[in-house]
Amino acid sequence: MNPVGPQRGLDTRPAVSASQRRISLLIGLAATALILLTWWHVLTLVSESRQREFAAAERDLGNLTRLTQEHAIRTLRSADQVIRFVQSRYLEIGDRIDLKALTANGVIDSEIFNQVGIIDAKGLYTLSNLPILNKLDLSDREHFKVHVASDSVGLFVSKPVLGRASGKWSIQMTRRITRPNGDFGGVVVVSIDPGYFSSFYSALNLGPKGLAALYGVDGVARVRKVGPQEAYGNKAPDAAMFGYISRGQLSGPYIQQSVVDGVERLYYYRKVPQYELIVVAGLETQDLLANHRQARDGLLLQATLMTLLVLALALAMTRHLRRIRLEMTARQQAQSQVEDRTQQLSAIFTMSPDGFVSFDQEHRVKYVSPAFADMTTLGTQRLEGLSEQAFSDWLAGLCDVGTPFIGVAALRTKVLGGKPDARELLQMAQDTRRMLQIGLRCSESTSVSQILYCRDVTHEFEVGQMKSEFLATAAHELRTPMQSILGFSEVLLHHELDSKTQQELLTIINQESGQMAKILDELLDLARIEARRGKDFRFTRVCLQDLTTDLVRAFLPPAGRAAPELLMREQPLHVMADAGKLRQALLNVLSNAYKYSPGGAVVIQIEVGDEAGPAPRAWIHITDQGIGMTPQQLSRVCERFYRADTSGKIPGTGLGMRIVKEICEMHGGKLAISSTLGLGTRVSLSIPC
Amino acid sequence: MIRILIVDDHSDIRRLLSITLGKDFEILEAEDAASALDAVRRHHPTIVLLDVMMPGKMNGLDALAEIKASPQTQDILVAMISARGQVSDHDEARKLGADAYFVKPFSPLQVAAWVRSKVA
Repeated sequence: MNPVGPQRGLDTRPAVSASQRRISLLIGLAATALILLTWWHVLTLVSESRQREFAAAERDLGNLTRLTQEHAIRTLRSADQVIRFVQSRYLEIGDRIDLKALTANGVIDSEIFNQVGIIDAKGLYTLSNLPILNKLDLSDREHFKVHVASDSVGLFVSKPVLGRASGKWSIQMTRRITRPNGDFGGVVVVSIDPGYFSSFYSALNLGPKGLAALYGVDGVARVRKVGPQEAYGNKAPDAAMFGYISRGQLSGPYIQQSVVDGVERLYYYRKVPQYELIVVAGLETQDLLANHRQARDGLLLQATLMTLLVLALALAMTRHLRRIRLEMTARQQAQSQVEDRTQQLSAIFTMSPDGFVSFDQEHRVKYVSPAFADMTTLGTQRLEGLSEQAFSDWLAGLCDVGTPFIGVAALRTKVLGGKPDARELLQMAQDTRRMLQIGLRCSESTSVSQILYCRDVTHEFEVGQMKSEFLATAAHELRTPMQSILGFSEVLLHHELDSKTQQELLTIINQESGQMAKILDELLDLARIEARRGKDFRFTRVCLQDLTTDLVRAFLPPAGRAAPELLMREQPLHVMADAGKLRQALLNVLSNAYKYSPGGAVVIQIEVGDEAGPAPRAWIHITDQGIGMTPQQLSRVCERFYRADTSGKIPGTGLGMRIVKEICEMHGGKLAISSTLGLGTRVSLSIPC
Repeated sequence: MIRILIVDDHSDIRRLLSITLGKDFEILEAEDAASALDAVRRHHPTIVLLDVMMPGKMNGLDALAEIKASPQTQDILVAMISARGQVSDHDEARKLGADAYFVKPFSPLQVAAWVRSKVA
């Protein structure tokens, strides 16, 4: 509708666009919120699930380590029991102690260890429950050396060592033998097979990479079992638990990538009370979280699907809304265009001077324009819905008998029969006596079958009539002097006439020739003035007194008549005028004043009207005391060829006053004539000054 | 003597026709239709030469109709003289019973010839 006019057209696009942006933004925000909420929920679930898994695993590992701790304590206590017993017996009976017998008869429970023996003060392995082939010197071993200098060590649990005698891994547990005098008396040693621990750990189901281990606080593994693999003596001082323990946290969970095998595990460690040992169990986090991962993947998939669904919905909604908006905008625009067109057409039809009547497909009157209603003085009568025939009858009823209307159907036959410009000229019988020109156009449009158009040609018709009347009058006026010239010259040629009559006829011929020339001159003058509408006028500042004085001086009054009297003020009066044309007009009036007055004075008076007002005017009055005119003659005095005198005694063309009127009007002035029959006439010209 | 009535508002035309016909006929003149009809009734001329366009309430054609309508005057020969040379005028005059139709400017000799042919 920028459309329109574009002009206006009423353009609602920015508003729609802004509102659409707002709705799209709302949809986007809602979708984003929904997606964020979904993801928050899912991630919370995932996180909780992970935490739950870890919490369960921690609990399990905590219990497990409690078990392994207990196992370690029991084992060590049992071993220590044996050591203390052997220590005590050795101090009582010395080398007579029969370790083999004690073991064999069950005094010493040998289930948990490989060997029990005594290293003497010199470091020689002197006694054992197993046969000793040669006394090994173990004085360089740590589990011996720690006891030599001091009694403060208590039970010592060695790092796993590879037995020189057995070639097997073993953990040595030793206690100092202190003689009653306080001297160092050697060491009781129990060799524990780390496999004892590991076989216990094998019973624990920790998965293929699960770990169960017994570490010393020195960072060396006494037993380390991962799945089926067992190892002894490997060092892991960087494991986090040592740090925790050194800070006083004697048990707890942690997650770390193993410093030994690089596997990430959830560990649970426990310091073994009274021993410098730590039990630890670990589950591979990957294994631990396998179920969680599956659940998590499921959740994430759901969330992703949900996200996609929400996005798709949001997109679809936005698109749908946009389409609706676009459709609405298009509809609004179309509507506004239609409105604009309707207004335009309505304005055109309302203001058009030509009238229209449209007919629908059934040839019923559909629309009647105001101009048509006006021309036919329709008034409040309604024509819409009338059949073509009824309309034709109605219109025919308005027409003057001289111009009967043939009817719309007959007009259509003419138009379709090869005369597309066929017109009917109708004169209305009403008071208006309007002349209407009616035409018809057939249409292939679906809503309008034909349009009857109607033009008021009254004016053109009158102008045409006036033209032919003028021509007839002009021809008549020219024929009259021509008749005299032709006729009298013929008479002179063919008749024997006395010289006086000859003279008389020649005088008539001469006068009439002059009259004819004068008519032609004045006709041309008038035609020129009317055609050029003053365009060839040369306006200059003219002093009216000077112009009039010159005119009077040059004017030759008829024989025996006095020159015109001049009445005017001394102060010069200037007007913008074409001096030549103004003189011609005044001369015409002056000639008439003398022609139509047998005697008496002719007075020219110049004065100013409305001098102080907004539109001052110079008035030139020319007054005679002549024959005057009747009101009827007065009303026609400016018509072309109108002669108040029809006697033929006063020569004239009947064009003079018409020329005066034209010249006066070209100066923006007015011509006023007042006359009384038998008393005289006063002609007044006014010119703005 | 045969009387001829010349009707025209222009004195020159009347003068022209009276000079042309005055030697052989008695000439009557009228300058409008009303006085022409008056003269027709009073003097019963043989021929009327009648101008069409004349001032006054009646024109030449009205006077023609009157002359031809009245049993007392319908035998009078009427020649119309007009500046209007249109066929329609001519036809109208004929319809009203005009015996001849001369268009201005006419030849006075032709008019005289027609008059003589009618009274011979």
